[in-house]
Amino acid sequence: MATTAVLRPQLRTSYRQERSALASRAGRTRLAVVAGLFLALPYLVGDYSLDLVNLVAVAAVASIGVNILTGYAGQLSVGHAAFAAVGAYGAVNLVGRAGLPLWAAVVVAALIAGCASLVFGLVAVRIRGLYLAIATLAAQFVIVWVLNHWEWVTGGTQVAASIPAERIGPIDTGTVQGRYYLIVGFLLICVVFAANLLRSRCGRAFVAIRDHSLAAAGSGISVFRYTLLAFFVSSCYAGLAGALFAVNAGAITPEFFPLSLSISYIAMIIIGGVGTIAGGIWGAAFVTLLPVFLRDGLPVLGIELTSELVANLQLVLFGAAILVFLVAEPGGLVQLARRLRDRVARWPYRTPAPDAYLLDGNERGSR
Amino acid sequence: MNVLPQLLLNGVILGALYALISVGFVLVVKGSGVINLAQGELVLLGGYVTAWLLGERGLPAVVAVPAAMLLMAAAGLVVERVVVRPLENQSMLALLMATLALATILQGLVPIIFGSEPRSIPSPFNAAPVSVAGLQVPRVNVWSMGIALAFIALVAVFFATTRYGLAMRAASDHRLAAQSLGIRIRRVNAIAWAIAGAAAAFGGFAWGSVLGVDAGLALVGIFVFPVVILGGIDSLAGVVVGGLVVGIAESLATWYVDPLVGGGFGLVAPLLLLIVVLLVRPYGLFGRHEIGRV
Amino acid sequence: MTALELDHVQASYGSLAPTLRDVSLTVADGEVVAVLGPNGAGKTTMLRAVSGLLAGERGRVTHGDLRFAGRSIRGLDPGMIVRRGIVQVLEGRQVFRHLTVEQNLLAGGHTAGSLRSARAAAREMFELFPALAALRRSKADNLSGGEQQLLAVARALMARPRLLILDEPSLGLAPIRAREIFALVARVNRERGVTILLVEQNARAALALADRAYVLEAGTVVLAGTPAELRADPRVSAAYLGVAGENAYREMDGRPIGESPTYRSPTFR
Repeated sequence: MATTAVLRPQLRTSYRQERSALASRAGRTRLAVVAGLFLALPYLVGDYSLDLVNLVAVAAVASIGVNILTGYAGQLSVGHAAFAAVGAYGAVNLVGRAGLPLWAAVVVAALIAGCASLVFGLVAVRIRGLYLAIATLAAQFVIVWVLNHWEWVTGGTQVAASIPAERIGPIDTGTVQGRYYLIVGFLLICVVFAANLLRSRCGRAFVAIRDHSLAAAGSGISVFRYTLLAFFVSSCYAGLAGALFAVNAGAITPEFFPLSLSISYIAMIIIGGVGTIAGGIWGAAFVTLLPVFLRDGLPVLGIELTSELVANLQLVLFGAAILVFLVAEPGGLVQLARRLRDRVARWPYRTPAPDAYLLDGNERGSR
Repeated sequence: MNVLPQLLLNGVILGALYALISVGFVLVVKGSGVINLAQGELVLLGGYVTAWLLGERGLPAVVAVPAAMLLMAAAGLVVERVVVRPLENQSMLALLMATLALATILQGLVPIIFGSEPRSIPSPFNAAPVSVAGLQVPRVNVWSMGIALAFIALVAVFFATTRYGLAMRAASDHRLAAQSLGIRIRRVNAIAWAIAGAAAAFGGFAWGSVLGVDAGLALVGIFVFPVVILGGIDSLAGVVVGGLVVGIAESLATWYVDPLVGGGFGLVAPLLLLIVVLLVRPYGLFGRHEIGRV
Repeated sequence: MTALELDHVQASYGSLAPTLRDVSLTVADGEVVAVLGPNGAGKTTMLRAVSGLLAGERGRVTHGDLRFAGRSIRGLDPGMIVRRGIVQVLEGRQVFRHLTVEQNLLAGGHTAGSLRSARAAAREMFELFPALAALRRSKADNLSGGEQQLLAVARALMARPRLLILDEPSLGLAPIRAREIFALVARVNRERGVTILLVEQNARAALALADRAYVLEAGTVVLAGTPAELRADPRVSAAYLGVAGENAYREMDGRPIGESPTYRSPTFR
């Protein structure tokens, strides 16, 4: 985790300062800017753009979750789309059958998704790594199959389950502005929660396990418990994203949550930046907006492609982007931006490139 | 009439074909230590290449299938060069993600190259079913099974008796030690991927003859995981046993359970089996311990 | 004639400070050369730089040249270096645990070109090491530490090295097994004419075996000479041989070897 400290060292003299999120004036200013922007954005942009913001925010919730698991705890899940599906159907049923208010339904649905993931996580977390990846692959197919066949929950394969619009105080989820406040509000809560979690004892345990699980175990960290915790929290995020997706889309079917969605969550964190919260958001924006660009941007440039070709091209571009980032900039867009900014700041001097530190050499032998 | 023998026989045939595509996966694990999540997509590509050579080019099967295997071996080399080698000193996690990226690329690229219409692989065999101990089986299935098992045997012989087979085992056991003895890791990796490509071509041919060739063919790649988890992720013998168990499980589940739950249980049953195996014997029946430690 | 020559070599891992700084060293044909030094001095890094094995750890040689038999080997891949005649026995033995003793040897003979010639070489090794012949079908994992080290040396000899590099061959072995390994190394040098470059913590044994020795500290050569010269040096005897008394040690305070911060090495304490 050296990079964050390499270029902008901050002297902290107490543990309390170290833990504090708002230690600096810059931090407080940034918070004020974010809060102001959050409240004002619906008045600044049109419905279409706001709808895109909503889509990005939903994806960002999921990718922050995936980043907790992959970027911090060093585990891979290819089943997060299925956990999102559990969250989505959880919310639909909690609102429709249990009559919970929307905000509560969304939160409870997230927890349900986390619990559902434990069914698979408990099996595989013991051995972690590859086996967790494979267990989540199984989860992806088993859960989607169950949803397809459990009509009581999903209303069967032929109908889309829907979630009615609702008023929460001044927010009306029937409007894109109302959904914006709900979804982005949850995103902000997620960001704060993740930042706190990762700055605390838990976050350090995750990183310790990622970098050397044996050494972590030797330091008294329960590898099993913390890996499972990371998996649970991460799946809750996915579930929340699913629930918010259902709110945003209004109606859902299990086909909205295929394996390729799980993979695109992974693409998001690699492209945005593994092991940073901001990376999850940037990656979500990139992966969500690329198809929009291909669909709407290319015709403007005079390139006309069939929608099928666009869809396939999109897959190729995603895959290629993952590869290029893995090889050339494992820190993702966030690291790229940081590098550029430092280069500009130090111009005409050249900055020494910080080492790529992520995904690198977990538990290889000593030299 | 008692359907059980017929179901078991179908399961055995399915199992041999699962074993066939899993061999490519195991080879790559043994040879280059990479967990390839794109095996199904390689099979998809192999299926299209074979269908193209057989159907559009109109080559006879004895020419087309080996030619497809050669082309796919070349594709394997490209994958090794473009996906694996740039990440050779990275963690297993990075390589896992890279193979996911490969899967995504192939899913997009294959329809761009070959179009998305389903194709059929014209069967080179007589359509009349074979009768085995009173049970009727399509001739193409019997042939596919036979050739699949022969291919696996060939790979096993390669590992046991050739210089590069031994080098691959050494390299997967201890990379640095293998390097220190002059074993060229990159060449070993390349050979593993080339053979895996050839296996995928053959898998595409065998599966394509049974299922037809379309985007759904990549789904057979999912079955690789129950097979190798059951058999042990780096064991050739395990692949055969795991394949048979998964094939039979699918065959039985489809017949007995599907009517109760409404279809699709054939895919889910092997995955549930996988979960159970992870619970009780995570390293499989024949596997080694260390691979689980990422 | 000079076999191996390191000419002002600097090497580092990633973008960290160099692990080797300006190391120069020669090994003549037929010689046994020992390298002593505390943990972290860069001994293993130096040996891996010679064998081209740094890349796997993101390390590389940044300055200087390495020559073998007069030709540069800097930047060659490990396979090429083995084919030139340099083979290394890695620290901690590192046998192929899941292969049998015989398969280990055959893998060592990879550069022989064909499995048949490797088999012939393996037969020769079994004659040379009857202890291994008895174990030929055992999994290497089941061998004792001493047997594994024997196997590691035999496996390296399979590649017919002109220069054999050994990285701490006595590591983790009982003293009697360590003596056997040193005797074996001496025999390999004497009978087969293999040049030896040896890194060893057991300075006494290494100096007994070597024709010349170097002391490496903090990534640089601080002393070089014949075993007799080094033994006579109070700094070496204090830090590596453990013979100096309390007074001798105190006497040396303020007289560091080179610039080494690790002079008061844990070897002595």
